[in-house]
Amino acid sequence: MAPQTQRDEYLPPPTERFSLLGVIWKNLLTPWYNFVLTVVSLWLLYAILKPTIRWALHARWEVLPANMRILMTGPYPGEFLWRVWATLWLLGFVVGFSWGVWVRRRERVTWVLVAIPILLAAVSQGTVRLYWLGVLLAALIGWALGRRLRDRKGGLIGVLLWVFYFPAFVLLIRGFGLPEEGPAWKYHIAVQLALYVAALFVGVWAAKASWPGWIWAALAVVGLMGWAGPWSRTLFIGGVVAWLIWNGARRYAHLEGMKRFTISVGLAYIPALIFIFFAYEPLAQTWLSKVNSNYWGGLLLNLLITVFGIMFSFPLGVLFALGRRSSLPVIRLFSILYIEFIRGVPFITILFMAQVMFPILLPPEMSIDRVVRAILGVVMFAAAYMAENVRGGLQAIPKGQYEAAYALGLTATQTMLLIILPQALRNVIPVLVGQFIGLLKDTTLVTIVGLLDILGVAQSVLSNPDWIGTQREVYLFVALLFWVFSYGMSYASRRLEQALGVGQR
Amino acid sequence: MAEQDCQPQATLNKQYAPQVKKQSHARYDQDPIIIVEDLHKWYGNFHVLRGINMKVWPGEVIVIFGPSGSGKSTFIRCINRLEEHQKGRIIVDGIELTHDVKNIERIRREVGMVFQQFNLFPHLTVLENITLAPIHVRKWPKEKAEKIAMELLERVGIPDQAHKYPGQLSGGQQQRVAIARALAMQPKIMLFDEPTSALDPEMIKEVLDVMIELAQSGMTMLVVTHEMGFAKAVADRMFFFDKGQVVESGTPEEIFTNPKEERTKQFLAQILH
Repeated sequence: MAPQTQRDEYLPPPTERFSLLGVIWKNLLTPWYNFVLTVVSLWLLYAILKPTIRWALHARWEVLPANMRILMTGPYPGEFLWRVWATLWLLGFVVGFSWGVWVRRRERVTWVLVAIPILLAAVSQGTVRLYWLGVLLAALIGWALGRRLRDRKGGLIGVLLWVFYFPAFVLLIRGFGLPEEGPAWKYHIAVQLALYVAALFVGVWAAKASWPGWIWAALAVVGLMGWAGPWSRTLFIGGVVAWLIWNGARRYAHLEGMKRFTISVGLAYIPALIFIFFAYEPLAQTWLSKVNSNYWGGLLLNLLITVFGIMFSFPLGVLFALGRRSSLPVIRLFSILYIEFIRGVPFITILFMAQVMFPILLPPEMSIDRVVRAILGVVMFAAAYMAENVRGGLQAIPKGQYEAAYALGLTATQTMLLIILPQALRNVIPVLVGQFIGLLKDTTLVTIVGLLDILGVAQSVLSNPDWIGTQREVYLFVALLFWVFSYGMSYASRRLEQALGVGQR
Repeated sequence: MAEQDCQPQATLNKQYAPQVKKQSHARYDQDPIIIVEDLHKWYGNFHVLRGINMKVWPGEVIVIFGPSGSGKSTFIRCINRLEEHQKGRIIVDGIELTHDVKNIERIRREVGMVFQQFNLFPHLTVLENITLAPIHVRKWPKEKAEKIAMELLERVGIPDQAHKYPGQLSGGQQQRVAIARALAMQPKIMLFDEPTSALDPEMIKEVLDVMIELAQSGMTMLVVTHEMGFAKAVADRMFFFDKGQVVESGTPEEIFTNPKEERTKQFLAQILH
């Protein structure tokens, strides 16, 4: 009989010494049937790997560097390719900055991120190698800056950088060109900006007064009714945006530094005018001239559709999920109809519908281009599924959470935003990321409506007589690219779960 | 058998029996802070509250007890409109509860509630749980809300847990955080819906001690509980609920030593064993 544990005795857990040979012996070689299985597996592995390696050594990999540019960007014009690179430099900067601000511990993934541009620079040649080193340089600059600003509003700047990255990305890819309203556009822009600056000033210095609201509303109404002739549109947009700015400025007028901020915005109006009247036109016609979305393609197009699909379908999906649980019958019915209709139609059908239906539904002077139509189709499709996933998360929240929030005096909106959604969304991160990954892969279907995404480009490469018979190489490369991005998302989501799950059951 | 049941005093000592000097803070010279008149409520066809009348004066401690399904939880949940009543009137702090959302929100700001299942927000730290409503409902600056939250955590005895998440605390600690969270809104009335029923025996005491301290500070309290030791120590009046009606009410002395109704005697005999 074993001796009994003493009352004040605490024993360490039993330990087992680890040794590699021991593990191999225990799991792979004994008893005899494990030994047989090990031998058979090794033989199978050899039988599969031998022809694979032989093929890999003799494959025509040169098809990839020769067509790398069109695989990545499709028919994007070569003279403006630097703009695509510029988006990568910006991305490097923003990622580096975020690292400097938020990542305090040494992380293995840091080295992976640093290794990516170095590796890509190593395998590329000429200017492309310099461009990749530029990405690395931008990341290092961003990192150093982020570290310096870490304790001085670095977090806020980091968030702003990410928020502004996406519009900057699109503007760089698309360029500007000149507005279609004719030579008067300068005055229209100047008037709009003047309205916004005025709204900011009034909001901050007369935060208590509610009468300015009527001015902006009146301007918007005049514009909407078309009473101002060619100025109607300007007044409408100006009035609406000015009202929003004024409202926000009133709410935050009491914040420290708000007046200083307002004055600096007011002063910035003058250089902005100078830029609009003298610098914009030459710039828009040369460096930043417009590249129509017909010329966007390759991986660039896949990523673009993915990013915008996620950015817009996510909030829309949350809204539909809330709508489906709403107590208002009209909203509930509309949400149910929308979700069930979209889920009942194949994705390809929706893509086709988006291409042909939007031009019919919209007024003729509002034409939206094909890429935007494809993105709209993706958003509509993804939002319906997103809504059901989010609804699953909402249903897992116990009733007591609503009751506790209401009992504290929180409004229904505050309860939703502060208590319910943060918990519900955290619970469905794995499902949502699964859907995002699916969305990335589904973007290859836009080939069907005539867009040249990476798969479309790959097909056109393969039909080129010079590269006949290179399907394996090209498709393997495309698959690898998709794997890298999918795994990246998956990894990021696991890290997010860890970060949000700290100390929670 | 019945003779024995009439003398619950002997068994009271087995339960929670705090040694406090009984001292009422009820201010009967003022107007009642809660008036309930002829309150009725149905769940579908089930008539769960059948004509409740009650007046509560500021500073009073009311204990509500009765068998499960008697409607006592439903009743106090009507007072901050977590449940809607279908007939009768509820007037809290001079405001009548109607469908007017603004009135409901105004009353909820003045009425704190503690639940049986704690209902802390698991995604927020203890400190964030407590400061959430003061910051977003009372619009206090964060520093002020945190200062008051720390004072409250000190008062309920767990200032060292401020930065943990609810899932890392014991049941008794969680319920004390829930009390601090309700108090942070500086309510005029506190509702307790079976605050110790989900707790281990060892933790019941730490929660009841906090509630007794609160009662002695002059807070108006409505407590649904079966902790008769607590009732004896601080209650001003007790209400016995059965089948959606108030069967009997009176001071703890009247209820414990001289219950009038047969049903009250029966029930007390059961829970005081």
